Amino acid sequence: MLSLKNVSKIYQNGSEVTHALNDVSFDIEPNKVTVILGPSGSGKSTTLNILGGMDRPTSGTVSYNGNLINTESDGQLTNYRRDIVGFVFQFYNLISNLTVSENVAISAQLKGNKYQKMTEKYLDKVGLSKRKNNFPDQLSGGEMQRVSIARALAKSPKVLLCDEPTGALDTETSQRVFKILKSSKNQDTAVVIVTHNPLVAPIADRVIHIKDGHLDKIINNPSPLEVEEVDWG
Amino acid sequence: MNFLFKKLIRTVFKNWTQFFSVFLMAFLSILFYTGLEGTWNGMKQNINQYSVQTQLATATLQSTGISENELNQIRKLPDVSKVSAKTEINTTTNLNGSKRYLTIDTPGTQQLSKTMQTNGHKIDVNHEGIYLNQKFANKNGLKKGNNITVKFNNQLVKLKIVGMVNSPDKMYYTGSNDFISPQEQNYGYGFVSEKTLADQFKVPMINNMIDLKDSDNTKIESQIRKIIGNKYIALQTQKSNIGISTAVDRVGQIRNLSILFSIIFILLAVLAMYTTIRKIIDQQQKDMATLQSLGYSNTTLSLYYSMYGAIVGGIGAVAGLLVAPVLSNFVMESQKPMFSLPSWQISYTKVPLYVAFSVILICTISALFAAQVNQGLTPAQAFRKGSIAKISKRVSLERLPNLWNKIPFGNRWSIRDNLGNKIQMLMGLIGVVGGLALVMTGFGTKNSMDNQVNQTYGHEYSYAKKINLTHDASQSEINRIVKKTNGEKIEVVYTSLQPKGQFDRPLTILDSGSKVNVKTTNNEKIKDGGVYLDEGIAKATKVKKNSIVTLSPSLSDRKLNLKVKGIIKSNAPQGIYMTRQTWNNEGMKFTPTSVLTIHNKIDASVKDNSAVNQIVSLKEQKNNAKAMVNNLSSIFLMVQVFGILLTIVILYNLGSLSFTERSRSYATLEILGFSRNQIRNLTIIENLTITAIGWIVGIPFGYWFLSRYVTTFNTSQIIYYPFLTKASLILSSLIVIAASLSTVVMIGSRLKKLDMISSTKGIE
Repeated sequence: MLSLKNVSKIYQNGSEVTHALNDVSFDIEPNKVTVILGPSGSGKSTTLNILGGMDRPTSGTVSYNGNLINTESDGQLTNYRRDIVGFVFQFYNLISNLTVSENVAISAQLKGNKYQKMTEKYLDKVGLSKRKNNFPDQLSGGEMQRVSIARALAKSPKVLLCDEPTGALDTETSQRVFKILKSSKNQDTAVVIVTHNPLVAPIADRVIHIKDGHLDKIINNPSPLEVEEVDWG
Repeated sequence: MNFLFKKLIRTVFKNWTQFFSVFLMAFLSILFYTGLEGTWNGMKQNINQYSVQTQLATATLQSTGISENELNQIRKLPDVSKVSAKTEINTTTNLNGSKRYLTIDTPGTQQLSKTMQTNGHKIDVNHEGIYLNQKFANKNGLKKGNNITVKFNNQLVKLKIVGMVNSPDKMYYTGSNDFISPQEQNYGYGFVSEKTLADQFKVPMINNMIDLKDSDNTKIESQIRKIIGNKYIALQTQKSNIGISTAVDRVGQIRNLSILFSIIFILLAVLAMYTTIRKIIDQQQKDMATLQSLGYSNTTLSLYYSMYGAIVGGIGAVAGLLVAPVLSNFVMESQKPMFSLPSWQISYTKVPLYVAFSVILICTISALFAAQVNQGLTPAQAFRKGSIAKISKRVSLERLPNLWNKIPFGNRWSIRDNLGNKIQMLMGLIGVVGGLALVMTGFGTKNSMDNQVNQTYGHEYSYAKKINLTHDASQSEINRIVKKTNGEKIEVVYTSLQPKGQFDRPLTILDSGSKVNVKTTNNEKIKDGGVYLDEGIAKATKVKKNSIVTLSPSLSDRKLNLKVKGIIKSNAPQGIYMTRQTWNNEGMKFTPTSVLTIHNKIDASVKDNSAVNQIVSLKEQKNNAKAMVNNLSSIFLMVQVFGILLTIVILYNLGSLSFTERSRSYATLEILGFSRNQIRNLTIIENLTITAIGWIVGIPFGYWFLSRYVTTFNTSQIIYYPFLTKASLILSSLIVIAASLSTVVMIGSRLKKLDMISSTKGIE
């Protein structure tokens, strides 16, 4: 479905050269939760940005269903982000002057006319129907992240990319968020979670370990645990 | 503070686009004030110096000629301290195949209104030959040592040019009351000795021009009338003599301009500073909290942020002071062709320094006020303030769900964002309203002046030629001229006006006809049975319709008590009107001074008639009046340019500030799949909305501002009414809309450079 082949990313700042990713190759499968695990500065967010069409690799290829996306124009990349990808950010990035339902609807609307129905459906899914008329500043962190997930899902993305989605949340709220994310995988959608927290690994179908910009190892997990079954410490 | 200062400098450099508008407003306010002060104060000093140096007369008595005995009586008047008697004759000369008009005076005692040679030397009152005014000589290619032949009373007199002069009572010399701006090539003046006048022109000293130094113009007018009776023509004071008053009025006009515009820009500097510092503080919330946690007090931090005002305002003010001489010289150069002053030096007072200091202080205080938002917060609260989402509120429009729900989400966001930033929105509106008002004023002032010209020469006066008659023209000759030209007679005499008339005004007595088509404020024509005053005179003398006024016309010792039948709405020249019938009913004899004709071609028998003094065409008068308007073109252009600049800078600054604030939201939208065009369209709609509101408010405000502004050009002779053509209104609107939308280009280019990844990263 989504495939990285020999992807490298080099950042250059004057004479200083940083190899953020080195020759990384892996595939993202639909209907699976993939966790990209690595310490801070390992290159996992760079990987996510490349997967999401927010950044281009210095070398190597990124393809979606066989189509190369790393060579596409800005406009084609916009279409890719609009039609294929859904993003969940660590710091939510809700639009402050839009209400909860409007934040979700603005995303759903990009995909078609049934945006109101989609908005209601996903707000219901994340349990925030009652807060739909509130503004982001009236929500807790966990609620904001759930709105962020609803916003990403309302577009019916093929790939849901989550960058440290619980990085700013407490354990209990984090579990609730992971439950929603895990339940979001279906026949079409792949869920990718980038995190530095190894406790998340057991819920994934596949865990990709990245270290110092290199692919360290890929572990397939045929029997992922439910969120409630994980010992969150 | 050392490190804070470094931080300040880096912040200013990093956010220079945001501080640029503050800098520019501070710069423009000082540039305008100081630059224009250099001109007006320079002109004022030069005029004062010239007046003192030449002992400029406080008044000049025009008469048909007075005796030595009468002159002595005038000398003995308690309010008169000096008297200088002259004899003035009007001559013509033929230069380069064209008829020129040359007024020749005797030099008088040279104790009052002393004539100075352009080389700075005094003139010799007993000289042979003629001293000629410099501009007339230059325009006609005459030099010292050349001969000039003048015609007077059908005799030709050849005179050697012995020097070039300027006369202080002719700083602005039109040569004829028929013209409102100088006609240097056609009209000149010169001085000959009393001996030359007697020997060559065969004219004895008749003392028809008396320069006076007095303590009270209003008192001596009636005293002199008692002495010389019907020989009195007019008493020209420094205020009524356009040769002097136009120069003095111009000083006031430029001064008013400097104050008006610097105040506008100072106000904008305050708003720009306040908005910018608020944004910078919002952006640096975490920095502030960190500094607080390190032990910096709130007071220190407030002072630190106020330093932004001091430094940016200070740089703007200093730059304004440095560049001001360029503007001073530019405006002064534009005035030189109109006025004859011996020296043109720009000059400054200490006031610009005080204004500059005030601008810096105001910017500093604005920044200090803006920095108060964090007062009273603990470091933890300040940190949290930097982390929490921006507080949002619903807007009134949401009470109309049918309308609100039709608005796309992107636009809802933009509406709430704008209405949640009231000061920022206000700034945007001020940018559009202020810019529109300035551009409208730039165009409108020229339109108003052009309208004055078109109204006066074409509508109020609709003749083709004005045939001015000699004072001794016989009735039969006048009738012959009227018959030959199918003309219309008018008489213009000077008259004093009581009460509070201040100085003598022209009184026009209209015979039947319609070539003088002035109308009252109620759009009524002049009728028999009363007197009519121009609006400017009515306001100055506080006379209203139906008041009773007393006129003392020249060449008569009668006093006429008349009811004011109407107030005339006319631009120029400001005067008094009545019909011939009313004049006759008061027992006055109608003695035409001009014949107005619609025929452009004047028969040779009329041209050569001894009763004809001069023939003036309306076209010439119109072109001459236009020349005066064109002389001010540089000022109009300057106002327009600053209007455009103001709109662009204010809106660019706001666009830049809000872009910085919204970059996270823009990046989020881009990641969600919005195209750059879609995001840019949001800003276009937003910009158009502010521009539309600004335009709606700006049109009436701009017209009001124009009506106030044109009055600064009013003189005792000319009143300007605000007038804006449809073309100017459309052009002003288009310019401001284009300037406003130009900020969209900036947003478009910044959107291209927007880094989605870093913009959506966590605040920490």
